[in-house]
Amino acid sequence: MKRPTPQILLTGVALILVVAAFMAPPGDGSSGGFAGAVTYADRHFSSWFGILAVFAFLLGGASLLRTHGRRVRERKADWHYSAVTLVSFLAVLIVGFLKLGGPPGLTGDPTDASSWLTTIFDSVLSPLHATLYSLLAFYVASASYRAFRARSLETSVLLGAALIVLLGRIPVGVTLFRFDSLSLWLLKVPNTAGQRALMIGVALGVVALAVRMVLGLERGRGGDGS
Amino acid sequence: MSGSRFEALQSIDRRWIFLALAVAVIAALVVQPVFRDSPGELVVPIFAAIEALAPGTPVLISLDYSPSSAPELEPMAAALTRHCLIRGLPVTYLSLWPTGNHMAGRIVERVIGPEYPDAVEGREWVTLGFQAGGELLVHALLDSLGSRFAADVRGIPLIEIPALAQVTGLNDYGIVVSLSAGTPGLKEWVLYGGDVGAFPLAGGCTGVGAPQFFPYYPRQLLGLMAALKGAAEYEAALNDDYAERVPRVMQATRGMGPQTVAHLVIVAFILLGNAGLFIGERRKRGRR
Repeated sequence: MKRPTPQILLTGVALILVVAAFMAPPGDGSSGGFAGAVTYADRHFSSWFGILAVFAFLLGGASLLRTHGRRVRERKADWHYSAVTLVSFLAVLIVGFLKLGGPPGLTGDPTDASSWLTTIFDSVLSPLHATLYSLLAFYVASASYRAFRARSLETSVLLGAALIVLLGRIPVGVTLFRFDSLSLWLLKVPNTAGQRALMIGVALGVVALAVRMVLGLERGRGGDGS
Repeated sequence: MSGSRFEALQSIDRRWIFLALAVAVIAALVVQPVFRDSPGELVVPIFAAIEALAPGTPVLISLDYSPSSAPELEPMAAALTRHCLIRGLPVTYLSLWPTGNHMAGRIVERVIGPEYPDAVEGREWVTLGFQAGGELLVHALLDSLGSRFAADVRGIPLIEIPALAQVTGLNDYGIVVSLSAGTPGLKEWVLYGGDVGAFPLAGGCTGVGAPQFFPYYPRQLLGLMAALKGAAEYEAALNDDYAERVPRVMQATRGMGPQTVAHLVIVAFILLGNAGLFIGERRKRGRR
């Protein structure tokens, strides 16, 4: 019973959604019958996800507290980072829930300019995000210097494409070398061809995986612990 | 120059590269050089589509990013907002990312408040904010915004908001623009929104994310603002048509200065490395 129930649910819902994606008739699903059921599923299953997401958040929060709480309690390696995670998580949660500093009540906007949550967002989260992301520029510069060397025909093509795109994306490169059209062509033609090949390959893989899951062949998701 | 010096060009310590880049970018930030851009092939269709909308037609902007990618995407949101407010198009902000509420707040605080003091929340713009679900949220909104949003971020029911008077679902929008830094984002809007619905969809994305969206242009995406340059091009279009009603130098145009300098530094180091390789190889061959 432990395995068949989730599998039956998965197969049933997946089949309904696949049918709905291809042939859901217009309307709100109140017409009844198979067509009505399919339309109803198409219109409402996605809304139900919002309800599930709330429980997923609770589950995620509880899991975070448990995992990092244990690391701190048992003084495992790098437990300090877990302590920072716990303190940050709880602080933001409390500030957000209690709507400290901002408009109170159920309908009070926690993102109001006067709220502490906005202060944390603007003064802590934003600078941290910006700092981490801006470090990429330095690593990209160093990696480009080392990677783009014309050692063979293939690497020469890569080097040429990189220089054209780098210069084609800045006004100086456009004015001096007119690389904007060539840069755009590289993105629109060879890049698109490669991207489409990847996308079609991935899509076929996803279809194969979905069929295996619907048929119950993908055991890891069926709750048997494998 | 001895052979070892050419070899040295191929293995410059990365700390020198970091230092050169930092100095160049800081100098550009101090001097603030302005490089004017012109609207490109991917951006013009978005500008033209918004330009063609009748006043009062609602526009949806999905702010699917966080502060890390805001330097690239926020100028796009700002430029689109300016364009819509100038043209009298009510803007709806929502987000597939939890950080979206604050990103919308920043647009209100930095653009709408100072530049359009007469604009009223609920009439000229409305923020619906973040909802979980990604592609499922987009799918649900196709038929009805009310299926997932009971009220805006202020708690006002959708039915009482003038900016949404003409809106039931996504198909009622004149254009939907997703400014996307990853997943969920523009790809989900294309697959579950634009492809299924009957509304024009356009996008904005970070530089690293841009290549993956080119397969959707121009049939599934009306246009694409790729990275800071895309935003600068949109600002250039605004400057061309509404010079008196927008700031002369906006965020992305200002940002293109340091970006240009950074690109030139990277190109210089790439050329140095290759010069070292090329001359070194020639000398080796000459010795043989």
